[in-house]
Amino acid sequence: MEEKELIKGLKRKDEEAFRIFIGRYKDSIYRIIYSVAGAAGGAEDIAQEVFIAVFKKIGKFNEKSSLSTWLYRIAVNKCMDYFRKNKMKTLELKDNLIFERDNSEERKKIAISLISTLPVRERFAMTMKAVEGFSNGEIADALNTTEGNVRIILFRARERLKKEAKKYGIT
Amino acid sequence: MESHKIDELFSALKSVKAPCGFEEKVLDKINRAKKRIYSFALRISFALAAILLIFFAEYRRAPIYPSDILISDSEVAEMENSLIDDFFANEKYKLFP
Repeated sequence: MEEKELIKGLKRKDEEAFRIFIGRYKDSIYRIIYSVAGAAGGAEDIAQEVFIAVFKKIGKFNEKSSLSTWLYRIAVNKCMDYFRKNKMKTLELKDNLIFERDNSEERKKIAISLISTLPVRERFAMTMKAVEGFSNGEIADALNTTEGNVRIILFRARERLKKEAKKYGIT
Repeated sequence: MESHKIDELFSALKSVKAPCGFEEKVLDKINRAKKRIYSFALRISFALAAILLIFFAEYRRAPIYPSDILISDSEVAEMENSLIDDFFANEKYKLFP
């Protein structure tokens, strides 16, 4: 189903359109939220809220941006709301974690812990860039900022991550 | 830690997927929200229909305007005369039987 058709279906509140829409974006949205709020838990609940917000607000979607950009913006806002209500948590890393290329689960834990040391906007920018492979423009649209600002956010995030990694002696 | 190592760490997150049954849970919540919206709309429309029914029932009933109650002076005089005539027409009250 093409995007225009999908939007029409969503605006009609058609269940099949929602099934296709959720199927198309659920992993990406969940991945971003899990990466950003993973340390605090509740990633599934936030991801569900994002899709329910789409159901409620699709009538107001003016199609000036793409559906995915709009969806990621909702995800960012929902996470921000979540952090406003719940305290942001930072996961402490165990000392001297060894960076093993083969141990995917361990790498996931390290990545989540490192992300949890970043401010929210840096978490989003870093996740969207390194995990989802978004362009700076797409990140800028989702974060409602400029491409130049995104470059600065990403640079700062990388510097912070390097420092944090060194602090915990990740080799 | 070099940048490419950070990217490598983050790439481990690419394997993260939405939990099983995520789609069904969301659709279930959406359907419940839909039902809530429909039942609310239904209640509103019933309330509106009831208000309209009451309004039209009241409107259809013949209204009584003040002009219907007021009687002109000539009408009052006419009524008085007829009452007096009726009174004296009665045998019992005849002045000159």
